[in-house]
Amino acid sequence: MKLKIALMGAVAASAIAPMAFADAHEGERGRDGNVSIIYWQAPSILNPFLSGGTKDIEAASMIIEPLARYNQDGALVPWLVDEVPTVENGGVSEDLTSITWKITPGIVWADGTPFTSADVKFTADYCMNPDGGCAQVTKFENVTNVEAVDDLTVKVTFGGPTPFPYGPFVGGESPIIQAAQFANCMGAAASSCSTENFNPVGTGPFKVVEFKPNDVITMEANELYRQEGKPAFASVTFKGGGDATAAGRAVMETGEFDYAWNLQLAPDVIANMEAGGKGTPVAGFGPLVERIMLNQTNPSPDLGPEERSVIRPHPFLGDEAVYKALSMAIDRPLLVEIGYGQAGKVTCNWIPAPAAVNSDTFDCSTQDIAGANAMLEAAGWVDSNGNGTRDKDGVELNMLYQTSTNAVRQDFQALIKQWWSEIGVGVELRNIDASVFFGGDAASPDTFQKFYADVEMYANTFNGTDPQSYLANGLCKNAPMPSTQWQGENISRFCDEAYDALHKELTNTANADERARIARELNDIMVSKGGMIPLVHRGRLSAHANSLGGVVLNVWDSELWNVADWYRTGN
Amino acid sequence: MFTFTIRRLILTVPTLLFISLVIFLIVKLSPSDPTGNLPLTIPSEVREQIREALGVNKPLLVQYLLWLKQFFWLEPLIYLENLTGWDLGTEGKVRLISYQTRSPVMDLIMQRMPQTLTVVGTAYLVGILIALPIGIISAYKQYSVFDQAGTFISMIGFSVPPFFSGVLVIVLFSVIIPSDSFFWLPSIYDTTHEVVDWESFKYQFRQMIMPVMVLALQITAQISRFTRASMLDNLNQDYVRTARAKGMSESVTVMKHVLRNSMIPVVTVIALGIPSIFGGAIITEQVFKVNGLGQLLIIAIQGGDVPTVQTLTFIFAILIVLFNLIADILYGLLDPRIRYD
Amino acid sequence: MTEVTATSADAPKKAPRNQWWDVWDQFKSHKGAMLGFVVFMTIVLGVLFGPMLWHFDPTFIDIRARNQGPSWAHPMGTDQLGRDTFARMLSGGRVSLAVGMTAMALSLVVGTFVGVLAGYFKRLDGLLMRTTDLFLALPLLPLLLVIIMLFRDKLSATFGPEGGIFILMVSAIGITSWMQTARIVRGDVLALKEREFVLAARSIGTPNRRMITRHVLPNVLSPILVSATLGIANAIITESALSFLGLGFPPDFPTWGRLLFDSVDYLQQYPERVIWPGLAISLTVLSVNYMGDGLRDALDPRIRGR
Repeated sequence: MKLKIALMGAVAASAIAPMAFADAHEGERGRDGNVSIIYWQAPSILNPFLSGGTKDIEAASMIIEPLARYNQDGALVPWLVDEVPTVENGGVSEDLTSITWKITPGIVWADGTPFTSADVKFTADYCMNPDGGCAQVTKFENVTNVEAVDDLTVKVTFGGPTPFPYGPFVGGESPIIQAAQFANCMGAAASSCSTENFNPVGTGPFKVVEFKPNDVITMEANELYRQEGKPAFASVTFKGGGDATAAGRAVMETGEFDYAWNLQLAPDVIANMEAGGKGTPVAGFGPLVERIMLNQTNPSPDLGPEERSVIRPHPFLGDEAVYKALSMAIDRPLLVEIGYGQAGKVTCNWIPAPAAVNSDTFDCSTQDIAGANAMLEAAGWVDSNGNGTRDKDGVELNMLYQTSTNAVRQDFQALIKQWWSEIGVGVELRNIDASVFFGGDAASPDTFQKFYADVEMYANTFNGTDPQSYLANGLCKNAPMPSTQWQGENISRFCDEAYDALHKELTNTANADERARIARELNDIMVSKGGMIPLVHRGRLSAHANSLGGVVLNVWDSELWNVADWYRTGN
Repeated sequence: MFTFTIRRLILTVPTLLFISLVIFLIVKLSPSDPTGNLPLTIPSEVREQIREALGVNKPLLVQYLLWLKQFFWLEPLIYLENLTGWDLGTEGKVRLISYQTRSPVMDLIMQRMPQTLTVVGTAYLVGILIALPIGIISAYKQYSVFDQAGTFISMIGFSVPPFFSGVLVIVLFSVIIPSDSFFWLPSIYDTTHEVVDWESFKYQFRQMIMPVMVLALQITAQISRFTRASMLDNLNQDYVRTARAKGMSESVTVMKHVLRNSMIPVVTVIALGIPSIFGGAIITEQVFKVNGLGQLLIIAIQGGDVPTVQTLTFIFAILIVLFNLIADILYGLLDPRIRYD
Repeated sequence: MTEVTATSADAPKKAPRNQWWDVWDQFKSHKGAMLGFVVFMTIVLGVLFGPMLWHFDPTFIDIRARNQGPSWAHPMGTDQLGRDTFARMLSGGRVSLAVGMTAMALSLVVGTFVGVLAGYFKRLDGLLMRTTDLFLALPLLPLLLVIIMLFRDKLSATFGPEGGIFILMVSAIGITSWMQTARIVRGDVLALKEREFVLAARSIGTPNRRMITRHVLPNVLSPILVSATLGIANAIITESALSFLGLGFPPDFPTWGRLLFDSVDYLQQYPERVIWPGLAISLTVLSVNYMGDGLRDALDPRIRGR
């Protein structure tokens, strides 16, 4: 009986859906007037190759498009091509050294000229020019040649077997720019092309009317867009600036805007805004993880500049009992509840997404202060001099814990400091302005690369769905050092032979399941050997007005990837 | 006075050159990085290439001299070209380019100028127009109810920072008041709005009310306090008694003699404040998304955009030096006994 | 002030009364000033001794008791982590008041010194005022970042972490806020030194030092006092801005400016959280302002006689 009702419900739902579809979703282009979007970080430029900032990439994604995109599930979908090339359909060569894209016939640029393989080849040349300072050059890593076979066929050749050939021309970071427009902007001339950078000709649903850098973009529907009846909106106001609170308020409380991006706010603040009744928050999860990095080198200020945070080991963080106890003392569900709400999940892993690479080795969802205390006792860490912190062989468990200035992070710092003090670990907190902390100025002592602290907290992620280059952040050779001007991605200076060997194996493996297994193992090594303490798997939380339909939050690509499908609902 | 003005004007050139050097050194020394705002997914080799392409790594002296040349020679030439249509051979020369937007800094400043001048300028004007009468009446009727209320409001106004008062008025007028009400005000300033008719003027007026009032509160508090204090000092002077004894009307005594003699500190404060109109109001602009020069400056600082920070700060410095000179000249007009020669 | 009270016991008997005694009498008769004095002393004593008497630690987190309204256990409620707001207000006030008063005093001393010298001595005017222009023009944020980078570690090493940060913060606020006072004082001094009484004093050969302390300074007191009131508010707010840059005290260390900033996001749900620090800052500034008014009246011999 119950099953029958459920089935009837399903039938009814599927019957209603197409009607709703027909009601609001279709019609002539530009029927729904204006849509307004607010990004609290204002776009500075509409050329993703010259900026790399998320705000710029996402604003540009409404205008210029890649050959293929990731959808909301992280799967590749063809965008300007008929199908995504694979080994099975012959698009990727058997030896994994080349990939051939076939462009959908009939696509035109917004100025009416045809979209051809020459534009695609030009895009590659533009970004790979060594004088241009292209921010997305890693997308073209290992590419030796891009060839326009005919008007609609592009062949990308790699320097060696590339199991994951979907770097170039895939995703919002690597869209196609028009060869005719940017011909004079190659290399060093890239910077002088402000007109082109502010008003790129694209194939996307909208085109720029006016671009005020770091302020507002006015766009109108592209009359030559390839899909009939799309976009539903005739114009777009894309405002930037302010802060996340104001952006959320403008969508959910005052109703002045239709879409607000990336609302990093405390859950109760979001809940209160939602009560305003004009908009709805939506969350999606990529591989972004808030974590505490454990310094594997000695950050003592008594060491000289060539040794501080360079020489191994750390006085006590290399001790398994210590870093395990630090992790056990943390109440992750509470951190999620306080800091992120629906935009956070408990995680014990460095790489929690996509699902295939999420390891299930660890469980860290319950806090265990007693267990942590016992573990430290057993390892010989006792408070022998009665000063409140444990010590062993004259080494006190005192740490400097730094992070960037951000309300949620400061709450986390205060909470974790209290938990760690309960297991006899003394903590001094420090917060640093984000532009200094994440800025790579080698002269500043406060950058996260320099890591002049015992532990530090921040979040990191990777683009797309393949974690290979992200996993390279754990390789011994990538540790920041004075000799490399403190550049390098291995922030915790993790160094493990087994890890390096396994990563090498990953670079030579093509089978997807096998790659996922190796990725999980690498994740386990990093976490179990004390490179970091993962805290929260963070989602992206954005909000849209209740009257805005068709929003599908996508964390694997630009959030505005399907802006052509957005429409105004009746209410 | 004339020779003094000429001498001071000549002296400003080396002063400003020195200031520009100090500003340059501070901006370069401060830990900032044009790639600092990029996502962490962009690896460090790529960041280094971007920095190289921007010219961040050139020797300091080369960068400074290049900036001097671009600011003092190339940009005025281009401005002249645009003004007159002559060809002065600037075609193809590298202009002063912002790191963040890769567009000429001067264009950015020109683009931001209107909204900053409208909002911050109006706020300053409103502030002065409210502050002077409050200050004068408060002093004249010291310890009256009016004076007490004025003191109270201006002190609260000054001790409540705009990051709070701005959000407070937004919550009151944009959130709590329903958006179809007459009293509802927009919380986000529309910089693309153009005034063409009465309706659009009304909208412009509405969207300016909150930012202007929040800023004017601070300005009023400051100026009215200085006016009041200075008036009080003068009201007890002997010359006031003499004027009254001579049978001068009260209004002439106060408005002509006392006010004129009380204006020196007020002129100083206003002269210090006018350059800050150009500097924009960083926090208020952020709160209301006015996106004027203040917001341009703060974004440029956070983004390590040295050319923009340097240029904006230097223009600010020029205005400071100029307005302080104007203040000095005004001192001489207000009180002819003051001599600089 | 202590000197006045020490001599007060036997002062009335002596024929020529100490002039500071007159000042104190006049100050006492100024209602606003006395009220300001009482409020200010209450705040000062509260933040000095309050944290010792109040049983909650300002950094202690009781996560089950978070976001509570005012109650007997927590008279000002608790914050989003369950920390007692009253305890945080008390210990936050210590820092805010100490920084506010010291930085204000520093900027007043520097500003008055520069202003008087520049206004009084024509030879120094050019150099000092161009220096003032330079400081006015310096971009504040990069300057502060440079200060942190160059001095934080050295000062912490010399004066201990807290002492070092305090010195750094006070001098950062002080050296970036003295210019307005200097310009205003100079303007007034320029006009003053052409007044008849100054010319008279000079004609009888009064040395410069005494001219400045006896005749010039007392007459520029009122703008200085206004600058002082505005300076305190400015310093308390700037302190919170500094802690966001990473120049201030550790992030779990409360100050009024920081409490105010942190609670702005919660303005709608928990308005009382904004009110407490806002009220504390405003009350402090108001009380200092009224004390300044009283002091000015008390020091003016023309009013004192009335």
